[in-house]
Amino acid sequence: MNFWGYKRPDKKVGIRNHVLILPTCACSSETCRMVAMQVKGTINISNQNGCAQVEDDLAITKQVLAGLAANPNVYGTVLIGLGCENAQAKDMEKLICSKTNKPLKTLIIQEEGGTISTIRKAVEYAQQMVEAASALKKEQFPIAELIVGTNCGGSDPTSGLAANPVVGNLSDQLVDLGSTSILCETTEFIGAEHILAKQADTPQIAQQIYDIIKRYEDHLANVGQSLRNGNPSPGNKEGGITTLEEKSLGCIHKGGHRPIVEVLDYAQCPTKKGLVIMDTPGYDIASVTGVAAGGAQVMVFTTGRGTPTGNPIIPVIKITANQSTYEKMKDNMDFDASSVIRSEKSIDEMGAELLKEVLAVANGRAVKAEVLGFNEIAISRLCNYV
Amino acid sequence: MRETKINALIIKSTDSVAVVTEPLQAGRIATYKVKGEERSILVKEDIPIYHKIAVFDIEKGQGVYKYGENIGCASCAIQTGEHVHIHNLESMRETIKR
Repeated sequence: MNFWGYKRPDKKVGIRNHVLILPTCACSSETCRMVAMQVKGTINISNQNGCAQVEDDLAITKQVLAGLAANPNVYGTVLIGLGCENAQAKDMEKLICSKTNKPLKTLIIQEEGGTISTIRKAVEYAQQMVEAASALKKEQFPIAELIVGTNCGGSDPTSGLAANPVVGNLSDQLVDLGSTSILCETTEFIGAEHILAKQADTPQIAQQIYDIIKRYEDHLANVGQSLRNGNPSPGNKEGGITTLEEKSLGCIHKGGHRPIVEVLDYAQCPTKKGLVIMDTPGYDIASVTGVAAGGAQVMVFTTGRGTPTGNPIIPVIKITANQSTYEKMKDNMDFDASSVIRSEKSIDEMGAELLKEVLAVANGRAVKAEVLGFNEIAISRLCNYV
Repeated sequence: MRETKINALIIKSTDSVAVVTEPLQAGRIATYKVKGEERSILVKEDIPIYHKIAVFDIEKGQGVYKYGENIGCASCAIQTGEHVHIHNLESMRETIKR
């Protein structure tokens, strides 16, 4: 099974061909937005971080920014720094170059003499990159080159009942075809960690699964918070969820049933094919951002209530098994899995259809969030700004 | 009393509970599919939409299964067709040892 993609000089394969205008910090984000508005074929992100962060948080921000630049859906990057920020443009440049040899240009606003001078140069660089990117021809690649993330947000009872099991079926098919599937959202493993641990390929990986959950709970305990108290929430219980393990089981079904071969930190790239776990927050925007920074080319995203979530770098395929949500939010929903709820189709049948959908999107069909031009990102943090 | 419409869903054939996909009142029939084959049970008490119904008798202390996995244990005996929720199902894992 093949898809059409773009070969990058670092041997990775993209399914989109973006030129990224990347700010090192909040102070250069608006300049990046203006450059992207000027040059068709570019995307920008709005970066809230990159300065006034503790060391560990700064490291996370830098990994995410460099990871987004290295994502195979990106042809090349124009990096714009301010000059006095913590995430120094020169350091960011080095970090990006350690991950990829794709085209990269760097500008520093304080050295260029302000926003307008920076924009003038950045627009020239961006224009050249877009021209070169547009000359690339798509080639056929085996589906094993795909890294697919799975996520959920705005869940309702139909998520755990049908949408997540269908995505789990997709994940199993992808793994069997040699691809990589990333299960994320650590906070949603809590209560079902023993089941995930059973799925681990080795005892070490099982321990790593317990470790990332413990680390997450410890962080929250440090500020006096817990995820176990009052979970499932009264709303969950009203919706029919009785126990925490039941709720978490509904979430982890997105990963499917193949052995877990690796546990990754937030925004880290998988080194293995198969089912992997990435330690991301349950906050969906930050989770999708981490997975994109980890090199996934596409995200499959389940929702019950209906969320608009997109991402500037990777297409986010929105799937719901709630028929009324699909009808009400057609603007935002890509895939209707509600026939599973009505027992008209089996999870296997729906999973096969979802694989076709993923391939169509990989081949270039735009998802709703892309057509609407959504480019939200959020970068996970450990603590307050300093 | 016969209802042929599918109004419940079971995820794994070994599960002890199905989930109703419409509100079902006591006396109605819950029908779900297991590997393409329809099965029906008598609903013993009112069950709200997306809540669980026992598909076989569960003894007190026995594990309750959904998704093919244990989601807790029965805090009292549960009969086929009864509502399974916080009044008769307890979590076994809300505090775990590491």
